[in-house]
Amino acid sequence: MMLFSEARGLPVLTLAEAEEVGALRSLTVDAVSGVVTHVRVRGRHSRKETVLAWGALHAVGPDAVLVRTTAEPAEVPPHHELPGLRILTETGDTLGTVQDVAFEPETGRVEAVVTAHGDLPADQLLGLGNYALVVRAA
Amino acid sequence: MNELLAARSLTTLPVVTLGGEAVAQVKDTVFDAAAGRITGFTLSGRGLLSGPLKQSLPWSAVHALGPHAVMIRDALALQDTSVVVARREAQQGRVLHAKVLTDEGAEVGTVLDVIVEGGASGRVVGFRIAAGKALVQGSRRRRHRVYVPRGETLAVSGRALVIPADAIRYVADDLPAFASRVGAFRAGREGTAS
Repeated sequence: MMLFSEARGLPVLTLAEAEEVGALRSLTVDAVSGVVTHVRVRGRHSRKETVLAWGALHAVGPDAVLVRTTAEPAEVPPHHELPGLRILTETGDTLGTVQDVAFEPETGRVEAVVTAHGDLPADQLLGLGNYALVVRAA
Repeated sequence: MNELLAARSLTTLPVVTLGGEAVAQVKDTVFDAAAGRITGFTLSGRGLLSGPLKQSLPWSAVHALGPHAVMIRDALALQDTSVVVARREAQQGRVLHAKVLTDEGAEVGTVLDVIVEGGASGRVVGFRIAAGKALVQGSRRRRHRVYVPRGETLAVSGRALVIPADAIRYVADDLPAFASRVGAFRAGREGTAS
């Protein structure tokens, strides 16, 4: 189990050349399937942001992320930054904001969304958009 | 029972899809002719400078009404305003400021706001009224605003609405207290009916 806050800032290196691509900037989540689909990497020098599909990653470890390829995927879904986003239930009530997200570094599966009111299991997530993360009412 | 909401407080509430996108905000709440339930919402764009939208939201497309958002399945639910507002015989504007009379002919006040139930029902459960002297005794300088439940059989014209006389025994001073009174009022009605 790993938190988004722990993954952020990890150095991203290529597996074959051990060349540093940059630092992990953010993770893009698909709320419906409950998995991390893409990661965003910011270059150390160029400050350019690169999008990598989860499938391009070789390993997400405690100290570094290793990638097989730095080629950008053809189609990039819109990114919604989860930490800090407001949470709404499907009944139109608010549950505060996302504080952190717990995920499995091996598979990218989201385990829980951490909020001030406790953890929300991933199977409660209904949708993620620019305004809110929508969850099933408990 | 679901949380109770004042119709006026719904204005500026965001309209959010289950996918988490805010597509509009509520401009006005539209009621049916008997002021029995919500039939839809007129909308305005989100943000300071956006004006009214051409599209409106019919109640049938609402997933749930909550205190912080109107949830809809997707943005395709929005319809031309004429579809929603065509049924506007007794919209909020005609219920507001209407006189409230009991079915025994006593005037109890005038309507300030319409109280609806949150969730998927869209039901009107009562009214916030400026109470007349007959209903609330005491200092005349203080203006009394109370909540009265709506009877099952409620007559509405543009100028007055008639509630059952026993409804005034269930008035409350604030919304949380009113929620429990409405429950008691309904239970009492069911008791007399059977």
